[in-house]
Amino acid sequence: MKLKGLKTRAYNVFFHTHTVAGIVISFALFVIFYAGAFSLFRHDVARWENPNMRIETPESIDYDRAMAALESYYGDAFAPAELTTIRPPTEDSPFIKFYGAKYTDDSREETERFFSYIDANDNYKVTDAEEAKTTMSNTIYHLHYFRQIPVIGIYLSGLVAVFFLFATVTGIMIHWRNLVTKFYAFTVKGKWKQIWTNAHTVLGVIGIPFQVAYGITGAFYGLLTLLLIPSAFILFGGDTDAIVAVVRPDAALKVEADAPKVDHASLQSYHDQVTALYPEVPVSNVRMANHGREDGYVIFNLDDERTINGTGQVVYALNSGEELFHTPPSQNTYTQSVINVISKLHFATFGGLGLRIVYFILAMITCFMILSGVLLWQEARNNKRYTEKQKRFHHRVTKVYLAICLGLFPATALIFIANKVVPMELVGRTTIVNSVFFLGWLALIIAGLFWNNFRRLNLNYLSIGGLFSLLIPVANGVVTGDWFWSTLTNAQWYVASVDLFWLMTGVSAFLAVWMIQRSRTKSNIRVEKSQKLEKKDTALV
Amino acid sequence: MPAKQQYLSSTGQRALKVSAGILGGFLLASALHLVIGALAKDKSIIIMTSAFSTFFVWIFLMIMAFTFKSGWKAWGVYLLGIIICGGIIFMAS
Repeated sequence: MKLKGLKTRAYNVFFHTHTVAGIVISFALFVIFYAGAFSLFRHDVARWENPNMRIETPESIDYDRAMAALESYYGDAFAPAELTTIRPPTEDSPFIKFYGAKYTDDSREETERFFSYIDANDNYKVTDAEEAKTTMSNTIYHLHYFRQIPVIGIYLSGLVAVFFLFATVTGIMIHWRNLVTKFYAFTVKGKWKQIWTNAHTVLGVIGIPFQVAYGITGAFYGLLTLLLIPSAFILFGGDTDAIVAVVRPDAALKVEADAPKVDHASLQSYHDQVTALYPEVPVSNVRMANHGREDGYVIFNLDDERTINGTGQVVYALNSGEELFHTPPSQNTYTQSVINVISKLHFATFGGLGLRIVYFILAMITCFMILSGVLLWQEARNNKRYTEKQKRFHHRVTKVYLAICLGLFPATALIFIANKVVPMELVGRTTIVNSVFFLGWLALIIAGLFWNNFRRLNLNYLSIGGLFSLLIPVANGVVTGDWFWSTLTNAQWYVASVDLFWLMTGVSAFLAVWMIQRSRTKSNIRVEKSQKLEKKDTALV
Repeated sequence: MPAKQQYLSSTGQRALKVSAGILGGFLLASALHLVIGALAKDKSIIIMTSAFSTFFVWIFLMIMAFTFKSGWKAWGVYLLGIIICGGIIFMAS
C-alpha cells in the first residue's frame, strides 16, 4: 500500500532540511536522550549512590521537628520569607529534602537558594547539599540539559529539542509514501546502507508519540523564558509576576520579611488535616513562606504519581488557619493542568516504575535511531558521486560523532565506578568523581579518533563499556560490602537493581561483541569459499 | 538516496529561508498567539496553551518557509503576517 507522498521538488527540499537539521543536532540530541534516560532513575539510585542512605524509609515524619532542625542549623541566615519546600521521604529516598533560601550578607538583602537533607532516623540531622558526599546522578541530570555550559546551556538544549521536532516532522513527511510498506519490510539483512535506513525509519516511526512528546516538553523547559517574554511585554505590560500568578495562583500570595513573629498552629496539625481529607493521595511536597510569622502560609501539594492529572493542592494561612485555596485531586482546571501534564510527560511521573522502564527503552531506541541516521548519512555518500576529499570529510564527521556518542556509554559506567572507588571521607570528592567522568569521556573520545574503522570503533567502545559495567557491582561490593547477592536476599531492591542492571549490561555488551566477531568469522569463511569457487570457475573457463 | 541537488536552491536563498523559518517563524507564531491573547477575555487559557502550541505553530512555519520558491517571498509573507498581528494587538489594547 503506497500513501500519497510529496511532489518531487518538495520531497528533495524536505529531505535536505531533514538531513541538515538531523546531522547538526545529532550528537547533542544523543547526549540529551542518553543522559535523560538515566536521569529517569535519578531518585531510585539514591541508595546505591550514597551508602548512608541504605536505611529503611521512615513510616512518618514530624514536620515541626524537621522545620525546627532546619531553622537551628541555618540560624539567622535562614530566610523564612522566601519559598521553602519540604519533600517528605519516599520509598526510593529515605531522607527529608529541603529547598530554601539563606541570606548571603549581614544586611539581609541578598539571598541564595540552598538544598539540604534531613535524616529523620538520625535525630533529624541536617546535611547541606554543598557538603554532600555524592552528586553522581545530579551530574548526569545536569548533562541532560547542558547545565555544565554556563548560562546558555539550557537554551541550547531547548533549541536542540525544537530542531528535533522539526527533524521528526520532516522525517515523517519524506517517509510518508513508504510508511506502511516499509514498516513490514524491516530486515537486518542486506547492505549496510539498507540496514541503517531500515533501523532509522522503522524505529523513528515506532517512537513518534514519544519523540513528539519529548520534542515539545523539552523545548518548553529549555525555552520557557523565550516563550514568556512576548506575552509578558504585550499582554501583561512587562509584569512577569502576573504571568506566574496565572500559572500558580499561590504565587500571588505575598509575605513581608519583617512580619511580626507569632505562635501559630503546628505544621503537623495542618498536615494531618490534609491527610484526613484525602487519605488515599499522598502529600508530595509542602511549601511555605514565613513559617512562624503573622502572614505565613503553607501549601500542601498532593500527587500519587500514578495519574497524568491527579494532583491536588490545599493552601492554609498559618496564623488564622483559614483555607486560602483548595483544589481536590483530579479537579484541576485547564490552566492549572497544562504545566502539570507537561511536567509529568517529561519526567515520566504518572505510571510508576514500569512506565519509567518503558521510557528508558524508548529513549535508548531513540539514541539508536539518531546514530543510525548519522551512519546512514555517511554510507549514502560513500560512492563515486563524491570526491575523495568529500568522502574523507564525511568519514571524519561520522567518526567524531560516533566517538562522542558511543564514548558516553563507558563514561557513564565510569562515573558509577568513581562514585564508589573515590573514598567517601576524601575532601572535594565530588569534584574528583565529576572530573573522572568528564575527563574519562574526553579521553575515550580522543582514543576514538584513532580508530579509523567504524567496526573497530564500535567494538572497542562496546568492550570497554562492557568491562566498566561489570566492574560496577564489584566496586560496590568491595567498597560498601553490599554484594548484590546479599542485597537481593535482604530485599534491598534499590541497591540490588543498580548492580544487576550493570551486570546485565556488561554481559550483554560482551555477548554482542562475541556475536559480531563470530558473524565476521563466518562471513569471512563464506567469502573465502566463494573466492575459491570463482578461482575454480576461471580455471575451468 | 541523498536529496537531488537540482531541486535545491542557492546558498543565499537557503540562508533566507532558514532565517525566515527559524526567526520569522518564531515571531509569527508568538504574534498569532498574542493576537488571540489580546482579543480573548481569559488570557490565562491562551498563555497556558501557548506553552505547547507555540512550538507546533513554529515548526509548521519553519516547514512552510521551505515551500516558497524565493526566500525573499517567505520573509515578505512572514513579515506581513507579523505586521498585521501587531496592528490587531495595537488596536485591541
